[in-house]
Amino acid sequence: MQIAGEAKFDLSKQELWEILHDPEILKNVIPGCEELNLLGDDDYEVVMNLGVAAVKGKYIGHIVINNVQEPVHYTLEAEGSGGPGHVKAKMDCKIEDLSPSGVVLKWQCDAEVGGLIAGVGSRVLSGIAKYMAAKFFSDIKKQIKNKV
Amino acid sequence: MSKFVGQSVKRKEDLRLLTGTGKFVADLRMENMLEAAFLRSTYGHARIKGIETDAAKSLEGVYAVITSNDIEGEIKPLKQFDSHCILPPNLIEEIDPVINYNFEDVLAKRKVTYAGQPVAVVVAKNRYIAEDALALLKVEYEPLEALVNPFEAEKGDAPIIQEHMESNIQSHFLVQVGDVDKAIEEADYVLKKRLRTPRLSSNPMETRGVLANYDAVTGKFRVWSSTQLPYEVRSTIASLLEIPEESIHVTAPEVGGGFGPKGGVHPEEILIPYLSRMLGRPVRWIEDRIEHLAAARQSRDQIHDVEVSYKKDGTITGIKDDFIVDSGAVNYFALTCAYNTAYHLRGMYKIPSYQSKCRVILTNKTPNVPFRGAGRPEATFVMDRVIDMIARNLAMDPVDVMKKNMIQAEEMPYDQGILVKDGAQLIYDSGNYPDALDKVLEATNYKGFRKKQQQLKEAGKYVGIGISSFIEGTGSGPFESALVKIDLTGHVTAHLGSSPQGQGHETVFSQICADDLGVTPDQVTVVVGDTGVLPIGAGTYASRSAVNAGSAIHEASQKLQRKVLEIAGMLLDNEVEMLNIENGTIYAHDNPEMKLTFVDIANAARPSKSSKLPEGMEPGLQVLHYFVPPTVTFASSIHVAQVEVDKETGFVDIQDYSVVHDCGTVINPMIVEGQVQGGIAQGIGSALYEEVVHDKNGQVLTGSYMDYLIPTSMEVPTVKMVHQEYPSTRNPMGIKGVGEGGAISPPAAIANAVVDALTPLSIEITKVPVSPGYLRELIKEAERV
Repeated sequence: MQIAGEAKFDLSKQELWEILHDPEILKNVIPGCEELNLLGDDDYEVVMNLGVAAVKGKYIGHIVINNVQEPVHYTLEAEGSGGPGHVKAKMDCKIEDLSPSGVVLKWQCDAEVGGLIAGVGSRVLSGIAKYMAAKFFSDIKKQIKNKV
Repeated sequence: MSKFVGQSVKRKEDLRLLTGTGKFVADLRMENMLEAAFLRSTYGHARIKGIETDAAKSLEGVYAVITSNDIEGEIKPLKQFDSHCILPPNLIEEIDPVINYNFEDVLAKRKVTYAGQPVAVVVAKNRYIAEDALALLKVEYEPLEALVNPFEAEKGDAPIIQEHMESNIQSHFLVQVGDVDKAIEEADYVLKKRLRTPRLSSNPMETRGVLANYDAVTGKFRVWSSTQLPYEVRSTIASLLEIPEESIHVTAPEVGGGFGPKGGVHPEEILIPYLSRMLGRPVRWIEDRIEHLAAARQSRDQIHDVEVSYKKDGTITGIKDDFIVDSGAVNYFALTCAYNTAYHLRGMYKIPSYQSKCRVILTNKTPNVPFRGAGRPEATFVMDRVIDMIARNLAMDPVDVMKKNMIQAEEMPYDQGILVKDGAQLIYDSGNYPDALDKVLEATNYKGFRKKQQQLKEAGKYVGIGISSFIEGTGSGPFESALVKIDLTGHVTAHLGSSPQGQGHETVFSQICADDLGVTPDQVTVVVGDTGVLPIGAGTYASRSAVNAGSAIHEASQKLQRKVLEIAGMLLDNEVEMLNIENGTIYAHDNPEMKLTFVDIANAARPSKSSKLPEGMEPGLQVLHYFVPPTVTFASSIHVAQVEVDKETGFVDIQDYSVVHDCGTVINPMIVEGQVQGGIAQGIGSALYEEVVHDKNGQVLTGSYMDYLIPTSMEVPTVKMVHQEYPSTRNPMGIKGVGEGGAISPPAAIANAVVDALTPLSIEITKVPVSPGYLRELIKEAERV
């Protein structure tokens, strides 16, 4: 499954970069995130509780950040499994300046799912993924507002 | 003398089934019963690096968590069902088959080969706890390349699914008659096409289920399974657990549909008895619908490359077919479906040169087994799309191309020049196909439709008509058993080795027995589905029960009737030929006042010093008979579908469906009509809706009825039916099978009707289901030209 999107922020590239790499903020904005623990450099362990269609359950996985070109580009590789099956996703993120001000984050995600999520949820999966991505970015914006 | 055979006697089963009082496996509960749930592979193809079970084991209420490590050396793997796979020597000589041994561990060992494969099983106080425990199991997988395209899977460098094999080509063979290359060379025209039939799920109303109880005192197993083949379940448990068959008693209680996949023994049917013995308590497992759609055996899935030579007048001179069966990860039934396809493909037509080359390929999908029609819907889709394509190429009416090639009534019995899978010569025993065609065209008012169609098309309505015909070798052996007995109250009880999944065994076989013994069906109790009463039996599959069990009960009843008459003759001091049985009483023609009842005969036959039996006769009133058919008998049918296509959306509406069919002697017309109607419902499913879809990693994407579409009563019209009755020459009552037939022709008939509806727009349907998406693609493509 391939999905893509973009989100605009009234921030500088460096400010957005820092927010996107702050575990405290991420824990609050990753959908269903129950735990996010930094294991090493750009390597996180994550516990998520998610529902896709009728398939609800807990996933335990890893998120690794690669190809870092601070503050403009990184790749996020996530892998997780749980009762309902498994997910493997690779998300490429680019941050670009907008004129006259602000930045845009352009992302492209390639995901593979297996087990019940594929069998029962595949029809609605891309819709849910898009919804979750939108929620992720709008929650980031909320966090920024709260901080200010 | 037939009094009840041929009558629509009301089904004895329906009081239970329609009032909800029938007992299915899920209705059976035992004291101290535990429930099992299975962890299934979430990968199509992967190595198992490890399974963490500690958390699941420590959950309160969990009694066992078992992986392949725990049963190492204790349960042998499932392998091909030899009772269905062994080929006779003359067939081996003729088709030069290669069949590679293949198997499946009852719990995946070291690697998984299809999504849905059982990896571990949890037994707990109830299903809720068992499911919670499943969520605590952690399997570490190392994904391997999954093979979902059989053309990729058969390549030399593809990863091997069954690692002891040299490639993923599990079996192959070649059938030929005439000289097809010469026919193609000399033809006026040659048609070359690739045609596909999809992978299907069978969707019985009742999913699978097993309950087992091991008695440590007697060392015996009681097993209840939602199976078509209780005897095969018994022998498979015995051979995999290495225990005598005699220590296992299997019952198939009410079974809510089988259709083929419940005829293959699944891993759960072995593991549940094993777990009961291990835990010393009854254990039950009921398949849920998601498990069914992923892991219950599937079917069909063939790809045919055909070359057809034909003349300007529509005469077909040769067919060269090169086809593959995508069998999934294991092929349990060797050449069953594949050879069925090969020997049925020419159907009602006389096509002198024929070659069929088949490869059965393993892929990372759920194993394939026979399903209602078992290779024949695939063959029929190919043959009848070919007939329709030839007609359109020659601007002829498809009916004229059918007539040009059809076997004539006076040519029966007709020899197709090759062999049946049981080694007999492929000879159609009886039937009248041109008459069937005339009758079905009349039933559907073909001429009237053609006239009306012209006007409707001018008015912008896309209506069409499509035809498909088939012959079906029904009633395959090896045998069926029947035990008929009369007790001291005079009541008749019959036991059969073949058990029902809703077909109506208790009714139809009591009709046969009642006629033979001169009683009413109410006076005969048919007891089936239990290995406890008959030493061996075969089962219900392959449109075989009416033929085999019907003939067995007929022969057993006749032998018992003879015994009753001989005893009565002695008691009445009269010749047997002078006696008559009517309504359970026996009397002589010349002295009708002197009557005996079955009670008198049963008492006379009771083993004792005072038995009153003719010299040398065994006491007791019971007869066991094994019927062994000489070979299959050929049922036949022609289907006509009238459809309207919504060109903008690609939706197909079936407006009329007519059928003429011949199943020889009809035992119960109402039940036959139900079988035909039900088969057509499933056939409509495969024509328009159903397909198991995998992604490139072998994930099943059609895991629920949101994505795997089946027709409802709204999509299935009431079928117009005409019966032909050409008795079989291969069994004493002239019966032919009818269980599968309805499902065979709808894909071809409906596809042909859709093509006809869109004419003059030239679309070419080469696969089913004819879904709105597929049809819109074809329409767009045709409009571009």
